[in-house]
Amino acid sequence: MDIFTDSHSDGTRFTLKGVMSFRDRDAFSVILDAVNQRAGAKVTVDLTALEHVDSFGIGLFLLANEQAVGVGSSLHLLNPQGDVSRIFDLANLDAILSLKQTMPATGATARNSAPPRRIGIDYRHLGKAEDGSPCVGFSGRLVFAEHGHFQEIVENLIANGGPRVVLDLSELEFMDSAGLSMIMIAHEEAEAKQIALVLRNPKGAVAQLLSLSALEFMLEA
Amino acid sequence: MASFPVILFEGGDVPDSLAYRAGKLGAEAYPNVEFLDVAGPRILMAPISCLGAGFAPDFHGFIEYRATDQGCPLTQVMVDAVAAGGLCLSACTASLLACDPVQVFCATVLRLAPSIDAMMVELALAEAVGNAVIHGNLGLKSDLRHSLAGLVEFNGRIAEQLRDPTLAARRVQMTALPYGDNGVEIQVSDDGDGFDVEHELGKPLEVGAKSGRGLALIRKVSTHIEGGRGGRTLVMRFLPAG
Repeated sequence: MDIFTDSHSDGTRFTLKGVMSFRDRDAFSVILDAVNQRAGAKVTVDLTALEHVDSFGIGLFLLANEQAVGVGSSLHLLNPQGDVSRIFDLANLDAILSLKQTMPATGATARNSAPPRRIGIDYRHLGKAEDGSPCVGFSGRLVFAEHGHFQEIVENLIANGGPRVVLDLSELEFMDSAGLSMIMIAHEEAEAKQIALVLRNPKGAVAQLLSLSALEFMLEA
Repeated sequence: MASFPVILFEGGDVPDSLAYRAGKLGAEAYPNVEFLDVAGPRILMAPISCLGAGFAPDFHGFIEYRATDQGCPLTQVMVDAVAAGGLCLSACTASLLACDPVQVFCATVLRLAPSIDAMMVELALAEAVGNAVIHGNLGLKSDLRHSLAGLVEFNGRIAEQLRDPTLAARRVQMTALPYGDNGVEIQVSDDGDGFDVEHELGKPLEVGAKSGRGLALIRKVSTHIEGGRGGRTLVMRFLPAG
């Protein structure tokens, strides 16, 4: 993702372009700095050219908003389009964030030419759990079509070393039984390397799937 | 009274094969141009990229169009479902592995039956479509998915099967129809060899099993499940809770 900055008399305006994911956490820090600058500061983020945002990206917007509220500055998001608009809708973010359309939103019509992007699985390190174990987080959707990416994810999980790795599922939106199988394989691969892989914080559909499958024992006690 | 669907073809003149097939199945086909004044529920036939973020409010179906397809993918089941006030979606195996139309279809099904449990329907639909793609259209078994090494081999087999244009072009078709009191009936069909649904449902499932959970999960989250078309169609019904 690219970020362009523009300072106006009435505040700072950022323009985001491309795909925003967990990989952009560092780039996003300029927006966090801007909202934290002073009370009354107005920060506008133009999303017209943003093609996609994952759940981590949404988390960054929410964080920026929270910080703006804390400092007394304001954050305004402009013109989310296509996938981004849909994801904001699905997450009901209009209730929390200041979203404004100054041009018609695209992406909700049959003529829309944006490819139906799969909101696939993302993987990121979340630092250390309370007991010092490495903690990693899944976000997005873990379904049958993710088989191709999972080997790398399992290898990354195991590379954290033992004796315990915490897998945080709080940002995993959806998982099917093929996704569950992949987690079970990761669990077993870890076990073979004397690493206990424990699951934490499943939400919504993911928690329901674990419960329906009687696999709650895999969760952190 | 049932209203005959109109197939709107994106990308120029309606191909002869579509015009012929639509006529045969009791539908009509037109190029998808703006301000077209046609009666009847609309189905868009277009490349998968046009599915975008979802069905437009005045569309009741989406059929992926691929110029390379041997036959016209329009089917009687889809025409009948849309004529009866339902929805349809058809996409090829390669597209279903590259993007996720299940989410889009599920969101549209909720338009049809807003009081059903969205989470349950999405889970059942994802399981059924996953089975249709992997076991049905690609003819792969799950026995490899028991270890990381097996998973790697399994991925290799998927890629290998997809290189066969006939298998990659096989379709998965989803339809949804209003059912009972605010419920919905969803059918997922594939072009594979079919399977014995009753037999599969009767198999005992170990808690620690790494595959074979899909049907059992669908049975848990749906009101009713049955097979059809020699095991190439799965029928699932959902009613609102309570």
